[in-house]
Amino acid sequence: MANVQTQFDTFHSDKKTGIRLGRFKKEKQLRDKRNVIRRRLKANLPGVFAKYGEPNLVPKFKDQGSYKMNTGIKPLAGGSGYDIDQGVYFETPKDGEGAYSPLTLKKRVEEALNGLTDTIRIRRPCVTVFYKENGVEEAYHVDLAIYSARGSNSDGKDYLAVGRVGDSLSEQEWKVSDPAGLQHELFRRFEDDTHGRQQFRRIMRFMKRWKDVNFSSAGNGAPRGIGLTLNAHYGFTPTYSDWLNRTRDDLGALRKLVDDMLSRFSHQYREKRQEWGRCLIAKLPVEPVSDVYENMTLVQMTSFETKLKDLKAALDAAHEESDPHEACKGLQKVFGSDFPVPAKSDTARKAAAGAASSGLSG
Amino acid sequence: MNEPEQQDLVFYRSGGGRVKVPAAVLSVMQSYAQHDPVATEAGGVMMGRYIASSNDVVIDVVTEPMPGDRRTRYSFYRDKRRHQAAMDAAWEASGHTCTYLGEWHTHPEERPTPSEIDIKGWNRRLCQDQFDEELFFLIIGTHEPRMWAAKSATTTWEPLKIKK
Amino acid sequence: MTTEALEAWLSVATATGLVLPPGEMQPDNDGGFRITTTLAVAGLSVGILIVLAHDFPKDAPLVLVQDSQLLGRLPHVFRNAGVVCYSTSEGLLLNRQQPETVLTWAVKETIRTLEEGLGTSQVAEFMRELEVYWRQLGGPEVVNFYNPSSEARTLTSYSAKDNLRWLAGAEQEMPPRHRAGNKLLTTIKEKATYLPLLPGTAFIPPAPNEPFWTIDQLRELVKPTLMAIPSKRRRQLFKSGRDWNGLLVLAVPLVGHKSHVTLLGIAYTSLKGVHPLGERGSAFDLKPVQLLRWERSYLLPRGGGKMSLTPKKVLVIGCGAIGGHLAHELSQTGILYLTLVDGDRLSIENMHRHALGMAGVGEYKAIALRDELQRKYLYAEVTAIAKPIEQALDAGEIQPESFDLVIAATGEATLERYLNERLRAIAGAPPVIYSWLEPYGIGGHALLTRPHQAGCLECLYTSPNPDAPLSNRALFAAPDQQFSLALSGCGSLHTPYASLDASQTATLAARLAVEALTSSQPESPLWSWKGSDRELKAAGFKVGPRYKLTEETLRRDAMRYIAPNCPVCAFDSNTNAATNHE
Repeated sequence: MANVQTQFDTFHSDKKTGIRLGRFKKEKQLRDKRNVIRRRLKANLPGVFAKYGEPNLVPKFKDQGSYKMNTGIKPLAGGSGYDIDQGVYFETPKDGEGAYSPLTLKKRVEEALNGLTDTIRIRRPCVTVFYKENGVEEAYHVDLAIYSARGSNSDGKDYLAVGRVGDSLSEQEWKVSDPAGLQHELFRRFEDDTHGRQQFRRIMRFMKRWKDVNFSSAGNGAPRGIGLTLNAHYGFTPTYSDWLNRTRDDLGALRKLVDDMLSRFSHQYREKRQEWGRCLIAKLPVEPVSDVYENMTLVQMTSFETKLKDLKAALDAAHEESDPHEACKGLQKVFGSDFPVPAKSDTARKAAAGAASSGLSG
Repeated sequence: MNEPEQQDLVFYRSGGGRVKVPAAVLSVMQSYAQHDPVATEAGGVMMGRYIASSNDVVIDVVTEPMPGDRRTRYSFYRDKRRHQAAMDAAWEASGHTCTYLGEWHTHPEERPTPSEIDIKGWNRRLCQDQFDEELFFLIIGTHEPRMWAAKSATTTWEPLKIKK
Repeated sequence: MTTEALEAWLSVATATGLVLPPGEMQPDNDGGFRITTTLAVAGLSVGILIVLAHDFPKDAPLVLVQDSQLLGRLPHVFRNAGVVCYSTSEGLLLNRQQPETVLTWAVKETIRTLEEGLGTSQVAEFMRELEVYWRQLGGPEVVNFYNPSSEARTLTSYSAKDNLRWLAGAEQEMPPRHRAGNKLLTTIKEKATYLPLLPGTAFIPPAPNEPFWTIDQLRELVKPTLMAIPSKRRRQLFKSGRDWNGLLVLAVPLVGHKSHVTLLGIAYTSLKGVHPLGERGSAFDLKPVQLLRWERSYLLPRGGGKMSLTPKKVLVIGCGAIGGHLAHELSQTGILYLTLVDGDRLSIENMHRHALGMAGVGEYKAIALRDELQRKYLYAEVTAIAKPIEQALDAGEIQPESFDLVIAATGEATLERYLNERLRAIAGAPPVIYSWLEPYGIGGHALLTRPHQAGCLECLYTSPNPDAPLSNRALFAAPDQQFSLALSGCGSLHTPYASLDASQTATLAARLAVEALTSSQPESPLWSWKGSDRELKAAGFKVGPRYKLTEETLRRDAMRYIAPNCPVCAFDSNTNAATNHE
């Protein structure tokens, strides 16, 4: 096996070229924007509610998503850009007297943020605030997930406001959602296992970057990042070349995960789309216990599986390859140009020049 | 010769680790395989890398028969000077990493075995040099290539295996 | 307990009918109290005396039956004083906050004990505690080495110079230092007859203040047993000889136990020189004898040892701090056959961390340890080889394949790696445990390895990265640190660790040894204990990544040390892939 852990380490953590969204400049910028939004909402919401003759609701904020889970990656150039997820919780019931429709509550939020940036858009699962940078229109964004908080609901659960402008009331939905519970589920098994947790996060980032490199970002063509996270939840096992000292073997861990994902593709009924077909499921281990991939078409599923098989082939080839230079060239094809390829001269043990001698062979 | 030319050839060492002969390098040597009943033996030195943090070896370059070498149906004499020059060039070009790994030559037999002359030559080679690493000797037969490995200052030759 | 509280208790006890009036209470000279009262036991009125010590309720109250004549002879009532043994004190928890409760409980237990004693199972009660009642009879003591069997047979009673008598079937049964040739033995021998009584034989033992059994009483008791022995065998056993003096040993099956027996000794003097059970006559004088149970089958399991471990042969290589503690631990588990190998003498610098202490200083460790173990553990059969293990192996003094287990604790990594390779190559070699400890109390390790099974000491020195510097991957301390301190110049290198670390490591290795020997551990695990890193860090050293793993993870990963590229154990277990070249 070519030892390519050094390259995986660089790919993951290098300050310049690494994919990890570190706690450096960019993340601070995102955090600052998030804080501005928090202040803006607190300042403006009372006025907005008053305008509509509605009682004032004071929002509570919680970080969520890959930022919270520390599995974020830097976006590809020309991709959807940096993002940060922010939960906004209102003490208002999802149904019954005085309940907001999901869209109405989101509109209040949008209105309170009006003028903050050029582009604020209500998307189905969130309200998104886009930021311009260096002339790039949507260089980064903050996704605001709007919730009806558990304290206001008789079942004690948080509900996410789902629906965009133009959706009829029946298309809108208060959807039970528990991001904190999900994070707890995902990391529970690593409570005692720093190395395993770190490798899990690295593997997550590698899979997300693989996704960004190999799928166009438009629509549901790409498996969602949370879906890959769930696949890893079920298929990841910590892998080390030296267990005693926890010397990591990310290539090995990736091979096991991808093998596991491929082995889970099967012909099954897809509830949401009411069709039979070959697919991979990414089931939430918390409510609503739904399949995160439920909106992917079968054509998209086929493409997902094909690309996973390509990934597997590349990983296996790297494992089989003796020459780290060749191995990394293969890995670069699936993980993109940020994956470093060592020069041949950097892969050799230092040796003497050697001298030729004349010789007879028969 | 049944080995598809475009494939790398990998030999496995019993103590773990592999010796990789990339397809391009292999095809250079295969081109001298003695399929023709009158073809003469050919050979050269093998150069490449002992891969860091592993027991693997990659053959990057081989020298081919050159003027000064003497080739017959059943023997091959390699002249030192020109092969040394080729080696020095590869050593410089590689940033001092492409090193001497061993020697290769052809045999007019299907599944080659080293002749007495081969073994004498190899053993002499092992005694002469102060290598820390193993050295490798490859014989290109008409059906298959075979490789042997030995540590310097020993004369125990380990036949390497080919595993898919 | 105050006088007032006691009086209050007594009036409540009388009012509720627990005790019968009149009840009287008075302080005694020792600061305690005596209560005289009466109990209703199975329709009888029994006068009792309750004695409370000055520090009651630290100990349970003493209850004595005042008029034992009334009750006749009862089990659990000791005749000479009338003390009622109403409960065993071992394992009894007294509630010191509520002395009244303790008192009430004691009275109730006394009533229960007496009522049970008056019940129909009197004989059974006596039989259950036969040993205790026999002990009350007194008489000379004889040390028994004979392991009771189910066959009647003739034994020998030896006179030892220490005025004790020893009883054994064969000299081999005796512990090493009691055997013939030992200065303790005299040549005076007497015949002894071992007679296992038929199961179900029940009787009330003689009372201390009454005459001992007569020969007729004894014959009556053993009659069914004798009848069950073939007459030819009986003649052999009780053949008349010069039996002026002799010993009878009755083995009485313990109620409810299959293999346990109570041994009752009876010395006889025969005026005619004939065996008391062989002839009619009555010219015999019988006296009770107390048999001290020193026999192997009685002592070894009782001490918490495991019987199945006693025949095991264990080779201990290295008798230093770990080896010294380890050999003790092994002996204590009941492993008898130890061979100790160490070519060094114990230096005074190591006195405090060696199990031998000052007693071994200047001596060959192996020999001093052997002597110590044989002194401490009656049946230990320890062989000492005071030379380096390589020499002992080369000279053929040690056949590793003749042992059930080898444990190496030499503290020399290079030597042990050599041993690992050498021992694994021996046909029929036993499992080997390697045990070592780390400096500054950071931890210790024990590795069990088995021939023909992947996982050996060399695995720990085999990194997946062949370019990595050679080090033991199991260590908690970061590699490439030099710990030896020169306390007094060269030649006296001292690795800083304490005796506690050595003994904890020895305990770990001993546990692993017991698992390996009892086959409860079929694998080849690496066990480690983890101590504090405070001293190590204070001394300016660093811990490695393995130290940061939790104890649970270390346990779970016990088999994860196996290196697939280990040059020693992977090479032979690896089925080399066949050439598959098309």
